[in-house]
Amino acid sequence: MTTPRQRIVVHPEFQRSIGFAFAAGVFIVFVIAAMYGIVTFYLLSRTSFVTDQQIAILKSQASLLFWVLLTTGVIFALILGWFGLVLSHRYVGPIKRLEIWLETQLLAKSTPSEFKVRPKDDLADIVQLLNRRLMKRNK
Amino acid sequence: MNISRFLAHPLLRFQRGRLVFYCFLGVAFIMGLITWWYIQSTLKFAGISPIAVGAESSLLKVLLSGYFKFGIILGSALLAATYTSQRFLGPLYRIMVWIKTKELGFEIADLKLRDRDMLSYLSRLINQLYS
Repeated sequence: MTTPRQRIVVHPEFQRSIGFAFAAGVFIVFVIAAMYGIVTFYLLSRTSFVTDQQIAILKSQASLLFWVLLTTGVIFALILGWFGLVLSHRYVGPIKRLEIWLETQLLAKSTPSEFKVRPKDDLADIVQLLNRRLMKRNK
Repeated sequence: MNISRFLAHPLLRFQRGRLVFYCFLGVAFIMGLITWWYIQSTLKFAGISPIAVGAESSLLKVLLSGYFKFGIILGSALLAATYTSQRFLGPLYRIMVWIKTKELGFEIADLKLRDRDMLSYLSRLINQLYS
């Protein structure tokens, strides 16, 4: 049996939205790269000295570039979508622990215990402020 | 999507934000490299001189320049990373700003986060702590 710490998906709705956000980010990069390539090929085909044969090459290469970028984009979207799920899993855990700790501190009127996270954690600033507030509140 | 939140999001402030940016920088670099390679090989294959093209159209000269390609890679990575990081770390940043404002003694409305942000329960607890 797997524990919540071992399970990748702990909060499905939130983690799914993060996975989709990563995939959407890849889509943004794909759109910009494809637009850049296609616009360049289009402008090249409009120059005065380009022959019909060269225009045909430019058109076929533009279409090929689109499909290559799309395939690469889909692969990256899947990889980064998965990465987003894993990354959000590491984000959900400390937040759940913080919620439980805060709930306990608000219910208990005793001396507050300090909540600890690693100094580099994204929650570090918030935790520091909350610890200070609780100390002040219970003085 | 709230545009002001998107523009004001401090992407590189958070450790995970920086990680997201580096990921998208890698993706943008690979996609940019593919695009650049396709354009260069097509020009070579079709026998089109980039110098002649640049002389006729200044827009094409800009599009084919190295600086522009670098700008496209960096710009797309920044845009994608800011969008993703804002969805991911934005609520956390809003909580931090709210607490700091409250600590400074300003009277502000209760902290509210959407249910789908997962932090709505935490925000209710923080409201209770500061009430």
